[in-house]
Formats: sequence, C-alpha cells, structure tokens
Amino acid sequence: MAMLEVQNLTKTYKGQPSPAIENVSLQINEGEIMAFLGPNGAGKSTALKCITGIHPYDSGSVTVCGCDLKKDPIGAKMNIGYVSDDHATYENLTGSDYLNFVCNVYRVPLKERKSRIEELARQLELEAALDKQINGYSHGMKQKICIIAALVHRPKLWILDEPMTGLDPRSAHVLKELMRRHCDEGNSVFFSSHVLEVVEKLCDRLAIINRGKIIEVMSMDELRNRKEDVSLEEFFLSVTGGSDVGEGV
Amino acid sequence: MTNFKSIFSLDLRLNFLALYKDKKTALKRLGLLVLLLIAFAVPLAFVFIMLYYLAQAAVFGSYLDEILNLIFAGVQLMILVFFTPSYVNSVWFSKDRQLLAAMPVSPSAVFLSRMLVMYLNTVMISFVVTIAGGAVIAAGSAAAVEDYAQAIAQGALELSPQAYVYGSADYYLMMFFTALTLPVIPLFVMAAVSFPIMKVISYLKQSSVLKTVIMIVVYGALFAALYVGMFYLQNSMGEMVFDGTEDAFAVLDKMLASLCGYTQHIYPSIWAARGMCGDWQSSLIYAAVILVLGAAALVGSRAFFSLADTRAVHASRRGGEKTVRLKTAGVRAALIKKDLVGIMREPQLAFQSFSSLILAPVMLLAFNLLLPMGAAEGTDEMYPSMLAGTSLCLMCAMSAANVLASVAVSREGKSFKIARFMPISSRDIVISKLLLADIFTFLSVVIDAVILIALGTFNVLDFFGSIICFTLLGLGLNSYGLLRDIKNPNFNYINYKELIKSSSKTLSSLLIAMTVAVAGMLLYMLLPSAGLTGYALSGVVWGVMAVICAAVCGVFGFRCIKRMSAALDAMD
Repeated sequence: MAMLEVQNLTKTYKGQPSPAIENVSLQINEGEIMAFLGPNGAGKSTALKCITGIHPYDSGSVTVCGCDLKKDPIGAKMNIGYVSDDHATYENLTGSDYLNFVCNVYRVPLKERKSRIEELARQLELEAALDKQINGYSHGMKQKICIIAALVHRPKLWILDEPMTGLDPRSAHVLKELMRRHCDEGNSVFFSSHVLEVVEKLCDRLAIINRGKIIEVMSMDELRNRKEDVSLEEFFLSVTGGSDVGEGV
Repeated sequence: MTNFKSIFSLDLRLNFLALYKDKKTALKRLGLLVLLLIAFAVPLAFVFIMLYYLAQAAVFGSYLDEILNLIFAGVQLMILVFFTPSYVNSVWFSKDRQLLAAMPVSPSAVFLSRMLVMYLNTVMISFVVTIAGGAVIAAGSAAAVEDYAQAIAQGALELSPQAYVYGSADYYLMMFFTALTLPVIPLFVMAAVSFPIMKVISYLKQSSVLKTVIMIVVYGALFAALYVGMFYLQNSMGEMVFDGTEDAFAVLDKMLASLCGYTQHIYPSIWAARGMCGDWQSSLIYAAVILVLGAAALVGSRAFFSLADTRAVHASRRGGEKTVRLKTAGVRAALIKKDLVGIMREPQLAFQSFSSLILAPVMLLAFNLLLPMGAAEGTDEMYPSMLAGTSLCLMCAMSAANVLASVAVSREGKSFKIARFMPISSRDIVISKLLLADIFTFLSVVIDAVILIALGTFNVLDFFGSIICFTLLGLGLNSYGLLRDIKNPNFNYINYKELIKSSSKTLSSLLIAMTVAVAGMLLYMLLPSAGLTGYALSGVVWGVMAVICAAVCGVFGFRCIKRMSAALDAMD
C-alpha cells in the first residue's frame, strides 16, 4: 500500500492569476525516504501544506495510508507527523506542555507517552529544556521540539519541510539517523530540502518541482544510471534551468 | 534618539494607515465608530445636560474653574482606565522589541514614538470631551447671565468674575491648548508607574504567569484607588444637608461646593482650568508642568526602558530539571487548556482578557456608591430603578462583549496552522475557542451580579435574570466575533493592541452589546411611569431582555458553529 498518494493536486491562491501548484502527482511507498526538491518559490511548501491539510486545495486527491484527506481528514492526519519550515509551536507553553498537548491530540496512551518523550528528548539532547517555555528556546531547540512532537505518536508518514535548517551537526546527524530508522521500521519519510548532499546520501527517491509542476520523479538509482558523472546538484540545476548560473560569475 | 523618525513613521503606518489600507476597510471602520458614538450619545448627553445646569450655578459661586477641572479629571480618568492596557501592550510587550534591539535604534526613540502614538489615540477623546464640555460650560454661563440678568441688576444675585469668561478669547484658546495637552498627564502617570514595576518584572525568573498576576494586581489597585476616591466623594455628598426649602439652584450650589472640595485639588489640570477662567499665571504654570512631565517621562525612559529583555531569556534556560508531569485529556479539553495556558503566560493578552473582569466590577461599585446623591433622604422614588437600569447598562456593555472570541484565531499567529495539520476537526477547534470565551463571559457576569445584589441594587430576580440573559447574549456575541475572526484573520500583528484595534469585530460586538444595554436601561427607566415597581418591574424587564438576548444568541450562536467550521475548513 502506498503511504502517500497524491494525484493531480492543484491549488491557486486567491487573487493569483495562475496556480501555485498544478497537477502535482507523486507516490511514496512503505519504507521509502523521498526528497522533494525545487527552487525557491517553486511550490514545495504549498504542496506540503496541501498534503498535510493546512491549505485546502482546488482539485486532485491526497490519500494517506488509504485515508482520503478530504473525506477522512482526521484519519489521514493521524498517520502524519509534520515538521514545518518555520518550526511553528505554541511558544508560551513549556516543551513538556506542548508535547503533552500533541499526545492528547494524537491519543498517545499515557503509559507510552512518558517513555517516548524521554527517549526522543534524550536522543536530541533536549531533556533539560522540556520544562522551560518554548519562547526561550534557541532556533535549533525549537526545531528539535517540533521533531519530537512529530514523532512522539509514531506516525506512518513523516513529512518535514526544510528540517536541517538551524540544526547543529550532531543534531543533523541524529535527525538523519531517525529518518533512516523510521523507514527501516516500515514507515515513510517525505521531506523538502535545499541541502542536496544530504538528499543524495539519504534518499531512496526524489521529486523535483518547478513553477508549480512536477518535472522529475525518480529513484536515486535511476538518477545514477541515467547520468553517471553528474552530481545531484548539476542535475537539479539542469532540469530547473539553473545550469547557466555559474557561467557569468 | 537614533532613528526616531524612521520608528515613528513606521508606528504611524502600523497604527493608523494600516487600519485604513483601503477605502472599503476605512469606510467600514468609520461607520462603526460613528455608530458607537451614537450609542454613547445618550449617556454623554445626560452628562452634558448636568454640566450645563451646574455651570449656571457655578458662575455665582466662583466654581467655574473647578467644574472645568471636573471635566479634565474625567478625561484623564478615561484615558487611564481605557488606555493603560494599550500602553502596556504597545510600549512594553510589543513583539518587535527584540527585532528593534538588534537595530541601530535607541530605546528612548522607540519609547517616544510609542508614547506619541498613544498620545494621538488619546488626544481625540480629550478633544471631543474637553471642547464639548468647555462649550457646554460656556453656554451654561451665558445662559445664567441672561436668565438671571434681572436678579443680578436688582442685587439679589451676585456674579463671580468667572461669569463672563465665555466671552473672552483666552477661554477658548486655553481650552484648545488644554484639549491638546491633557493626555500628557495620564500618559506620564502610566509611564512613571510602569518604570519601576517593569524593572522588577524583568528580574523575575519565574513563569510569565507571575508577571501577568502582577500586572493585573497593579491594574486592580488603580481601580481600587478610584473606588476609594469615589467613596470619599460620595461620603462628602452624603453629608449635604437639605432642609426641604431649597430651590434647584440652592441644591446645585450645595452639590457644587461639595464636589469642588475635591476637584480643586486635582493638579495640574486645575491650573489649566484657572487659566481658562482668566488667570494667565496659572496658564503658564500648567504649560511648564506639561513640558516637565513630558521631559521627565523621556528622561525616565533612558534609565528604565530597554528593548532587550536578556535577563528573563537567559533565566529561562537555566535551572535544574523538573519532573515532567503528563496527563491525558480529550481533544477539546487539551485545546482549551493550551489556549488558557498560552493566554496566562502572555501578560499583554491576559491583561486584555482580564481587564473586563476587573473594570466592570470596580465601575459598578463606584457607580452604585456615587449615584444615589440625596437618595438617602428618600426624596426620589425613581432612584432604585435608575440605579438598576444604569447598572444593567454598564454590566451588559462591559461584560457581555469579550475580546477573547473576537481575536481567538488571529491571536495564535503562525501557530494556528498547528491545529490545521493535526487530527483536530474544525468543529472541535471552534467549540473549544467558544467555550473558553463563554467561560470568561459567564465569570464576569456572575461577579457583576453578585456585586449588584450585595449592594442592594439588584433583587433576586434581577440577579438570576442578568446572569441568564447576559450569558446568552455573550454566547451570541462570542460566536459572532469568532465567525468574523475566522473569515478575516490577522496573523501578522506586531502586538496585541494592534491586533485588537485592527479588528472591527470587537467594535461591532461592543455595538450590539451597547444597543441591548441601552434598551434594558430604558426599560428600567420608563416602565416605572406605568406603575411597575419591585419584582413586577424586574419581571417585565428581564422577560423582555431574555427575548432579546435569546434572539441574539439564536441568530449568531447555534447557526454559527456550522458556518464557522466550514469557514475554518476553507481557510487559506
């Protein structure tokens, strides 16, 4: 069963003449890490926000673990753990207040939540800060609390928008380990990033979006087979029309 | 004062121009303001009529300056009462403080800019009340001179020198100057009181709930001081002795003598009042004092006002580990708890939310103790119903309209999307927001009703009637406010003052509450002339009010939940 199936997703913001995303289709299978790449303003965040239910979409469908997002939004969202690009949290709450709130919403049993929170906080070195208000956290700490909140309920599909931003090298390493382990357990990860070296090492498949449309969906093996000596960066620049950037410098 | 111009220009844009960004918004806001003015016209007219007659008596007893000072004291009090939360929010708890701290901007430039914006907001009130009040006093004086010309000519009555000020240009020039400068006094008081308090608060390591509590206590103390002042004023009024032979004139004269015993001590505005009555030395003293107060506030800001709040931030990262306590709760309970904790830990928002819980009871207390002037003599059967009617009006206007619902979605800012990607239905979000606002409304209404029944203003029927009716009204208005916020959210505010001010939803809810309030007050005042008193009067009043409040609740309440959920689902 596909963990995430997006078909012909189209969204136009009010007052805009053209769609922000148009006929976006992709599929993520069990145990896969899929990267979502694209230049700034390509529509990555819009697509992710439509998939996670933050924005309504005009047409198309989004199915998460068999649940249609429009017909059964609660069912679909129960299977998603989302980390936003701006690490949105309730900043007046303490870390533990916020995580407890998340556990209540995702109905994590009481017995399980303490151990899960402690385990994740230990892995991300955030135990000492859990009883402090989030508005006193650094950027990286806020990112970590969002990661914990997105994983505490063991979602089948983990969606992250620019997750590496603001993380120190150790935490970035831990996050990559978590992503890999999450998939090894039969779950899936879908994330957007501008750090192509990480994408190259970590991902099984990738999708590239440009000007609101998906232009490439392929596995990393296919990419390597297609163009042996070309890095992901060079490939990305060539498909998104940025291959001439270095020439004028 | 580095970069003062840039900051001031930005603040002007955010506080004024942004609110009128397009013609449609501007017309809508102006329309609502006009309607609000109309709603307040009735009580204002009552006050000005009273002033007119007081002025007629004042010219014979040299009380004109004290009567003018009564108006000035009223303006200063209104500014202190209604603008203190706004001052705290925009000067001390603005979200852009940290951003500005990193820029080449001096703290005193920011302070001055924010105070100037406060001044511009308050000078409009000062102008309206001072100019209108001054004009009414002048009209009263002129009427007294004309009406009693014969008695004066015969030597039966003697005019004081103040009687003819209405004809002098100095009166109007000084009135204009006073209208422009009066807000400086309460703004200085706010600054002077806040400097040491905020300094203490910045040292607090504990959660911001403590800061919220301190601010609410200080605000409450301000009103307690008001109540004590009103109590002493009422006492002095109660000491007036009437032997039953006095005409209206003599009654007014005695009231004046008692009132002016206090108003002559309200400095520095008494100097402005004396200046208006021809004492140019007092005018100079007043102008000098205003300059000194303004300068003192600015100098004080250099010592006390800082853009960075590093001590609290560092403190929040220190400290040992505490045991994490986790509890289960349903989704709605979790949402309400999350909202409540968020409000309590955000002093500026808690201030706005709790101000009605403090303001309404204190105003009701002060009003109910002050109004029955002469009622102790049992000379006026109308007083109980007047008192009940006016208390009903105050209670409805101040407690039924709740700012919590009107900005329930907007106040979450960018965090609102969290509820969108979590498995939380729109219906749960709507109901939890409404429940929280309704709980606040209910508490406010109950506190007010308890005070009024304890004072004897309300009987048992009034007590239960007011709780039921105004809770119903609050349900309707909260739903209305929330629906409008969902349809037009503002997630990009810089401080809560801007958020609430930019929201016409709070104004329109207040307007509906005022309309219902005035209807109730009129019922209480007019029905006694049909022979209704006591429980019979209360029964009819609350019967009608129940129908009105239930209608508002029905129109805006139940139908709205479905619409709100749909609007939330469609929100971009």
